[in-house]
Amino acid sequence: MTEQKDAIVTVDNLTKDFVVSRSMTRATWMRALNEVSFDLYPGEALAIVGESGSGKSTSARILSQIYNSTGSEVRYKGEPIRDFVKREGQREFARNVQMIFQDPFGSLNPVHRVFYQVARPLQLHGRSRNKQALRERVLELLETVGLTPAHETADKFPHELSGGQRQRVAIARALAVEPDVILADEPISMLDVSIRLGILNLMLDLKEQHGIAFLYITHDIATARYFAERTAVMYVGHMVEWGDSDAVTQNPQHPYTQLLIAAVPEPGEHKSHDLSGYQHKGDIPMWQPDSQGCPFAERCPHALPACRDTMPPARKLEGNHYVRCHLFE
Amino acid sequence: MSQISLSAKTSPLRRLSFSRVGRRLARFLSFFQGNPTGAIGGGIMAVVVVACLTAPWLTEFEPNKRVARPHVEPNAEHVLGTTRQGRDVYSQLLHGGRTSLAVAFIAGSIATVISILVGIAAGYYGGRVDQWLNFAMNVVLVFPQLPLLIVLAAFLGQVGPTVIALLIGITSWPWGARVIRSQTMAIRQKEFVLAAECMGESKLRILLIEILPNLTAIVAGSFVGVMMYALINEAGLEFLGLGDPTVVTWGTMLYWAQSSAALYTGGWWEMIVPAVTIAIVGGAMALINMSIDQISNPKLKTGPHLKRWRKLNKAIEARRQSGGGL
Ligand SMILES: Nc1ncnc2c1ncn2[C@@H]1O[C@H](COP(=O)(O)OP(=O)(O)OP(=O)(O)O)[C@@H](O)[C@H]1O
Ligand code: SF4
Ligand SMILES: [Mg+2]
Repeated sequence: MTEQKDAIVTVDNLTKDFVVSRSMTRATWMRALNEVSFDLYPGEALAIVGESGSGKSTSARILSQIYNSTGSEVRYKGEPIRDFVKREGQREFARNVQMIFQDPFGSLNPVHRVFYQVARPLQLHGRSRNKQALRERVLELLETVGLTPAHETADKFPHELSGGQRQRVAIARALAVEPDVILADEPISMLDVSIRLGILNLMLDLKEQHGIAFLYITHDIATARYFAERTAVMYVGHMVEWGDSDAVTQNPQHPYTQLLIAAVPEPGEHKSHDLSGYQHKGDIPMWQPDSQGCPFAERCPHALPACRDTMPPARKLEGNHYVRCHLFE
Repeated sequence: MSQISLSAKTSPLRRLSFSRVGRRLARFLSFFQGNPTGAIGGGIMAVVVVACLTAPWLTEFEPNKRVARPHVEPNAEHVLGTTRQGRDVYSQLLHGGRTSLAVAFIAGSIATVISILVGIAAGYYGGRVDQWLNFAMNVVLVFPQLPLLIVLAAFLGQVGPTVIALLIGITSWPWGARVIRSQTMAIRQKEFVLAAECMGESKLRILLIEILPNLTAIVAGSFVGVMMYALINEAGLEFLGLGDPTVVTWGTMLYWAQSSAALYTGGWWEMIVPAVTIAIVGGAMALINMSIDQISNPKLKTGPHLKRWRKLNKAIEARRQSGGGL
């Protein structure tokens, strides 16, 4: 991060509201994302860490345009994606930003063979000159993701593959159109522990060799440090701490990050963390558009009076390590 | 060098397509394996359909011509006897089956196409589209169907088989549409649909190539269901004299048997033959439907699971009894 690269995707103040319940007279809204900002750089990964419901998937889904954002400025190569109104531009963006889903059993259509799943994006984006070339390209991709012998795998149906193999197919499919950005939404969390590292290493190769920018979403702060240069910690739709992965994971400053790391059952150094100050009941609040204060105030052992009234601003610590907490003012 | 690569290119390709056909066939046959209901139903249907299609070769008699004395008992020449008008029942059965099965098939196809269009669109788009389509489904559902058919048929005057097929087809799609709708709603949440959307697939392709093939069992089930329903209702309408009696079908056979009082004058075969045939074919369709259900709904699956479960229960029961004895 010493030399300044140009960000390929810039997200500024991403906000997303969902309707939770709607009655005749009014709708109740929840704010799943509140003022989330981050950049993605070529050949680098940003990990988003946070517990369930913190809005990790929602941010990825907004980037891949499955959801519309309530308010945001997302720029791709400097151009706001809202300007990609013309179909061509839309396609260009859809091609360059690919998604890998959490559930390898849900992300491949059970009725299509592996060949179809990987060939389809190639056909859609005009990457296939003829049948022969298409098949060769698909086999090449399957080899890239380590599914050998490729010609055998190509003719299989998803149910004939293991979870790890399916996830490799999903990666091959994402890779097919040579994207700049891959959004990986918990790509290994549903896999056997024994095969997780293989998938992670495959993605590391892609990142380093193809210069792909990764958004790596995970529950697991240890793999975040292993895979990603930078890490952002999210709590109920807010980024509470972000910066270089080493700094965030080895020297966590925000009380929530400290809790996350203390909760990791790691042998050795972090063994004797004291979690007694943290409130476990009444835990994760639902953030509403008019909620105020620090989202973590309910559970925070260091909460100050100001914490319930005003949202703490982002503070820069050393390097590019940022934290949002009133303790650092 | 070029020769080698050429032969290497063509031969595996050919082998591939050959083995694909083989695999398709194997998959089709494996459907019946360990599935006696489907095998019996499918077997009966296959025999009936082939017999009807090859009718001109299986009988020399014209179905609609007087070929013998009235009410000749079944014998070597007229295997199923003759009607009051001296027509050959066996020939009528085979030729009439063509029309009856065609009506069932056409009605089933019409209903299935409508139910797929309505069900998938409602399930996929949701919102307003869903509300309107749901409304249409409910409107068609609340009309009592058989009385409606009777009124329509009576209103149109003696209706031919084509009109009957159309009437049944356009009144019996909502059941299928409902099931397809709810299943589509479940599937559209799946990540492979999201993936296709992200990829930029067209809506039409998502509906027809990503979602529809996942509904095969349901679509097949509702198709066979409507066929069965159409078979019975066509016969019912014609039996009541609402159909065109000059066309030979299983329903008009019943009509003529009834109007010539075949049972009272001793020509029981004229009545029994079409009645039993309709029952058997309807039953075969029901069996096929059941087997599709069993396959698509694993809870209904019989076989090793159930056996293991029974064994386990027996073991528990035995232990309990021996424990009580001690
Ligand atoms: N389509 C939706 N409609 C309404 N609420 C939604 C929708 N999608 C997500 N939410 C809500 O937004 C919040 C964030 O969800 P999100 O899926 O982004 O969490 P996550 O961090 O990915 O969690 P997990 O680790 O369980 O995947 C949750 O409270 C969820 O209930
Ligand atoms: S702002 Fe206050 S409540 Fe929030 S983490 Fe910091 S100290 Fe705790
Ligand atoms: Mg998620």
